[in-house]
Amino acid sequence: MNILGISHLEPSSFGHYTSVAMLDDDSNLFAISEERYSRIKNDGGYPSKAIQICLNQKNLRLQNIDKIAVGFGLEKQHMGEKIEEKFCSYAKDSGFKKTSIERKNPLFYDHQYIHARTGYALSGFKKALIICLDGGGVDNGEPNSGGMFLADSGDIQPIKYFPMYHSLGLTYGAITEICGFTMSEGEGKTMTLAPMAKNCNEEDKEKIYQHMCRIFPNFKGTNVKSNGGVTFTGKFLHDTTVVSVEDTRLLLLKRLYHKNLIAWATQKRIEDILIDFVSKAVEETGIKNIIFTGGIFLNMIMNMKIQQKFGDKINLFFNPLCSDHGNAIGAALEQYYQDTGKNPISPYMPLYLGSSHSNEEVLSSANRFNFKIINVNKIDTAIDLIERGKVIGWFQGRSEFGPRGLGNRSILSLATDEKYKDTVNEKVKKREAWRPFCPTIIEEKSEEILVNSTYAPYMILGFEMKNPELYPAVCHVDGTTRPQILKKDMNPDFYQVVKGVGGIVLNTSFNLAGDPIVETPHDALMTLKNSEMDAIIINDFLVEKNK
Amino acid sequence: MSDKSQISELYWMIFNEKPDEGMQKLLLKIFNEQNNSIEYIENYLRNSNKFKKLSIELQTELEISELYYTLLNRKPDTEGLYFFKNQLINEKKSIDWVKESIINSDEYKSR
Repeated sequence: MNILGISHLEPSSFGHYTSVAMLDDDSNLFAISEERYSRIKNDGGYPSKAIQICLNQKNLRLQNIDKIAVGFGLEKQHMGEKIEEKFCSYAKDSGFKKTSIERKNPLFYDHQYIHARTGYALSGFKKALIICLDGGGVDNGEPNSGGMFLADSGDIQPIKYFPMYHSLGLTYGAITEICGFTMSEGEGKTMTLAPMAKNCNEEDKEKIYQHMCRIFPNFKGTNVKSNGGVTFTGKFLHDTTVVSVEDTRLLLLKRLYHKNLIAWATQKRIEDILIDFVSKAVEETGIKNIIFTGGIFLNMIMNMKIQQKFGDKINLFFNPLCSDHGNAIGAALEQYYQDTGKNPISPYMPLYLGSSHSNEEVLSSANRFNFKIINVNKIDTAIDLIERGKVIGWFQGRSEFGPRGLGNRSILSLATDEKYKDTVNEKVKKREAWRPFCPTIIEEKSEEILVNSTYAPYMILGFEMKNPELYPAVCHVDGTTRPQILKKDMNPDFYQVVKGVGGIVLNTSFNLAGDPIVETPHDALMTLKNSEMDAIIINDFLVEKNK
Repeated sequence: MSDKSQISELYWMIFNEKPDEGMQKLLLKIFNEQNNSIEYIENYLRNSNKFKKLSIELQTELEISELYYTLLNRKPDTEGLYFFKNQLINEKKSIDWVKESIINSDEYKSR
């Protein structure tokens, strides 16, 4: 049986991160976001290319797909019928015959429920409380901004949903706009801006925090009561949502305070809300395993605070596929569970779920560029280049699913000197100088480098560093870092490279600012052409610019 | 974006008005002296007497707005905002008085 899982909200204006996953009887999972092939960051359009790439993996045609499951949650009543109709006609416009999609009778699963399914499947827990928070979704035909679920032996039961007007995700998004970044894209920047307020006046901090308490929804444990939520005015386009904030409070805050302070107060507020929320949830349910999912949990510093507070008493799992990308996989997993009663994936599975490319493809793509290309021992060459202070692209095997480069589509350099951070920001990725980078740390070295180290293979959990001064290229101004802790069997070649340069390396996703992560050799070569990266290693080839 | 428009935009964001020609020249000079740092200009503006005076007004507007959102679940209308602002700044009424006034309003009672 072949199941196609889709995360896509067309024709809604809030469509983003469109992704597709394919799952077969042998539990082979392939997953890719439309952006990787359309080359439009966070592409929310219909996933024509992603579906085709999925089908190509096994030389299938759409008629060979047994079931299509959509993980955006609009299956009920009028709304369900409407979206189904539009979904099918949109599919037709995008090159797939209406009848071929329609005959599959796409199943539309609930949004937060699918977030919950994804986190639960990856966590390996048998019984767990699942806390799901994001910008918004639809479950049981009603819009919401999150939910709580109880999972046991495969089944997931909703406990409660949170209404849209409590949306922590939209509120955080509005503040992202106020800080000068784009909602749905710039939230990570708001998070990394927060520690930059460390030297700001304490009186100002206290004052702005009190304002933030009134603006952010006030979650009183599991009994949600709020006067919060922010107001927007929106101009809706086809694939993009153009939102401007018209909330008087936020506009006044913008005039009154520096954006670093606004970001700081927002971060503190969201951490305080979540810690209070988790405390109450644990108290009420007495459960010892908690899964966190939904886009809010991309905030790895908040995750770190939750881990620090509860990690020694409760088993916590932060879903690396917590944003809406992940619902393509979640929808396929749900369908598989409905059909077989089983979870086909293993806990903490590697996220190398995308396409790989042969040496022939690499050579064919390289012919179109005026680059020097030679066959090398890739591991020795990567170690040698990094040790000599070079910034290199590392392109191997199947691409990672989701927003992080985890050692198959990565840009690498030494972590031990701040100049590498500056070089990668300015000359390679071409982004703001203050933005920090993540390290990959081999598991054996993690206790030496991190405070209260725990296994964290996905760059979803922050840690304090024991000696931040030793690794300034991968440490933020507050002494925290967001590592990928790498076990050898997760990615043996990459492990050898990291071990060879001292067990820690700067690892950032292989893309330029504003671009999706590279998917194909051609994308990687274009990135080399358009940046000051020293070299890239693709499969067994070293590629350098001709001098 | 040119240096001049970058500075003007920042000035507009904070003061809701364009800088006059003299101010524009001064800010451009400081900007150039400080390695084109817009952060420096922002701090300079936020430390100015003009901003200190303005921030009292903005802070007052913010407190009133928060009451509107909390009690009436809407943004303040211009008339209401300026009425209460005048009461707080010129008539020396307290924020609790504003709260009481909103609670006693027909709009609040009819919610």
